[in-house]
Amino acid sequence: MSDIKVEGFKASEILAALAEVFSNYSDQEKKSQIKKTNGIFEMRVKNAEGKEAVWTIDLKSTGSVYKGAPKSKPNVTIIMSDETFTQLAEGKLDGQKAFMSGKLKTKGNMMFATKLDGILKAAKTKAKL
Amino acid sequence: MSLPMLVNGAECGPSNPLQGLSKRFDQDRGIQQDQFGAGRAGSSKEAFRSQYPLSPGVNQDAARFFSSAASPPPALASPAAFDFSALHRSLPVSHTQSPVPVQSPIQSPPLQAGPAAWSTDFLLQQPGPSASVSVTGGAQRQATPMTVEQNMSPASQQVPNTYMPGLSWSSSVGMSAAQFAPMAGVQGGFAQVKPQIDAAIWDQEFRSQELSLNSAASAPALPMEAETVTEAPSRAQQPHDADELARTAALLIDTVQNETNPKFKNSAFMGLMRQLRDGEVTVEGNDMVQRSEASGGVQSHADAKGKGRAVDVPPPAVTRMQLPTLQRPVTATPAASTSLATEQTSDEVGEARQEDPNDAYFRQENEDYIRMQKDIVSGRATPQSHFSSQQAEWDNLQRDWEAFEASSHGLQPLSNYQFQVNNPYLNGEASRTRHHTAHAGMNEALYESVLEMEAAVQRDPTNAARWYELGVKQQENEREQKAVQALRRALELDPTHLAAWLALAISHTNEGNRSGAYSAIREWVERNERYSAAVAQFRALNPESEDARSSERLQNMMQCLMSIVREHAGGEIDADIQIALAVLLNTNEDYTKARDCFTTALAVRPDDSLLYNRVGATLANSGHPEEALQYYYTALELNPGYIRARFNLGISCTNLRRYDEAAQHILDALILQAGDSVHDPSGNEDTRGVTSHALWDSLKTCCLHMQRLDLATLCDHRDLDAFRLNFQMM
Repeated sequence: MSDIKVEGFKASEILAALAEVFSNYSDQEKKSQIKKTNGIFEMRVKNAEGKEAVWTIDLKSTGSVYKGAPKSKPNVTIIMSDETFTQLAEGKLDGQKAFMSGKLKTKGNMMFATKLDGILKAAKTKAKL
Repeated sequence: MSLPMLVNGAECGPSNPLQGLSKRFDQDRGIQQDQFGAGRAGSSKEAFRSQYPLSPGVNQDAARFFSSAASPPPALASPAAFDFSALHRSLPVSHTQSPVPVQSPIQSPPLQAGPAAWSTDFLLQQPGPSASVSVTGGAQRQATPMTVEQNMSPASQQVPNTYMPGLSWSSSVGMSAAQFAPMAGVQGGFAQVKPQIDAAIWDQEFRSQELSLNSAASAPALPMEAETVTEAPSRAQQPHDADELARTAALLIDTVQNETNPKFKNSAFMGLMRQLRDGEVTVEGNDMVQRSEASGGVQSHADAKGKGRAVDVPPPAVTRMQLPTLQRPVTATPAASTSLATEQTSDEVGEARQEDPNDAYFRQENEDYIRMQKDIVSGRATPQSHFSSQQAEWDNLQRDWEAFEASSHGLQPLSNYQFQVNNPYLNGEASRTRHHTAHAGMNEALYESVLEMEAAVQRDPTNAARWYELGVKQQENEREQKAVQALRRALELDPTHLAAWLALAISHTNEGNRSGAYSAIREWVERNERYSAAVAQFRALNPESEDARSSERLQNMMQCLMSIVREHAGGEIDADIQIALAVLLNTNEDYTKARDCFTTALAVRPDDSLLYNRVGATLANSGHPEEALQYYYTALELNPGYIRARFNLGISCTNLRRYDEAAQHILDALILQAGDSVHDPSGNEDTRGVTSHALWDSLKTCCLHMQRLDLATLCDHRDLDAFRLNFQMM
């Protein structure tokens, strides 16, 4: 989990939590999540200092999160700022709005980018009614 | 005739072949595998077990016998005769087969596998050029101590199994289709192996003599038999005849089983009948070269008699006289092996005497099995003898399964509410004060605890209202699963309990079970008399198609509720319908609308801590954790023991990256949860079933964010006390 973190990125903590969630999944949960998503996301996140970090969310074969470029060709590459990613993860911003307002850019299959919302939600514990 | 019967399984009896199979598998065959290498089917190696005590010389003999490199004895057909590993490997069903042939010797009718196959071996020998030579060779070999031992040990080992089919057949109990399945597998095996058989026939022939009649020969022999059946009708007829004869013999033995006269019991005739039933005598009778005519006579006789179900004495007697040597392997006991070897060539009387202990053993086993069969038939199978430990195991499994199903309610067999054991409140009101003092200082003592409610439910298990209260309490205490179980129980008892439907819908929403939440709300709406007219009106205006998708139904239901709310807009606000609508909106992740509904409901019920928490949760889920906090605080002011609100507060704090605070809140929630556990007098208080995993996982995440790996590991161990100590030292 620590190997996912990159200093100076809020996104790294979120992704680390996401990795934790994935690693805690049972095989069945993992399978259903993979089936639901079936894609590899490459996240290129730029922080305020202009540094860029790359993470990959693989929900096609392994169901894992790791630092660095994807090992196989990603379905979509999402380019955004650290701030945008954090807001996305917190649910303050939805992916489509971010895309429309130009905060988020994609390369590859844009439709996969819309699935990112759901994945990031999985990382959050839902408050119970 | 017997092959079709094998498929139809008319004679298989009520014994389950699976049970026999499991017996096979559970035996340790490591020793035999050591001796003869891998690649053979396990069951066919039983014959070697008795080889251990043998002298090295004998072992060498055996090795020479089985090795393709060694020069074969003159009688052997080919040098490669005994390289069976390939054949075995090519027998995918050899394992499934094993129980079948093992059973066969007794009754042989449906499963003539072992002995019948043996007979086929002989038949095949007959046309061959060296037929007579080989037969004598075989006989000679049998006379040596080694082979006798080999033959005998399996016989004694397998007796238990071998009696099963016989009994079941004679008692003519109807059978279940499940029993035929293995047979079908065996047949499949035949077809598959057939091409390879020709080369191996001779090998198998010798093997079947060298190794045990029952187990060793069975796997290779089966395909042979199949081949004969398909290839040559005339030959195929013979195993069937053997079946008839054996069946008749078995029938006879069963009918006279109660005969206590030892003279009769031990008579040569009875011994012969047993052998007949076991299929050995017939088999040999068919195959003895010099006595082909006699055996033919036996066959025809058996045919006729098989139909008539009568026993024919003279022909078997003749056969027996003809085949003294070949009867031995099965009938002799290991103890008598050496003497038997000498006897084999000498006198018939000795043989009859030799059979006595074995017969007694058979008889005893037979009776055991009769008892067992009866038990099985009457549905209360109990282990009767030493070999039925497997049976007992299966029975236990079956019983567990039945109990599981019998005590189930609805589609979820495990949904029974598990009460905590040792609940002190169970002792009645008298225990109340004592327990309250024990819990002094805990917030929960101010309110009814889960234990108290469980006790109330257990005292009055048919009271839906109590179940409902328990369910809501469990919701508050962040145990969703238990809440759902309790609410379901409440609704089973009283389907008109509207509040329970609503609570169930909330639980399902929390679980992410959309359809469950929808159907619960639907039930709530349909059973709510207050709105039945409005619902009917809405339904009339918006007819719902039968094949609507679940999301459409959900939308439809929301529209329905909204229209009702609108209609009643002028009058008094009904909090329940607002809650129902809010729950649906929540399921649909339409959080802003859901929050509006909850706040509307809150306007009517300003003291409802549950509602405050719900507003907070809705806010938090829509990405406004900081706004949610105040609602959680209010909820906790109203109900300090509200574990769920505390946990939600912790989650919101985590989302706001206030990890210390979050950890403190979640820890509080955990301590409260643990307070519901029973204080075990033995001291090892197990809070694992009481605290929920979600809390521990959240706490762990918090600790990881706080860079406190030591605390995270304590979370993994679910060690609340240690965590509390370490956390406070911080």
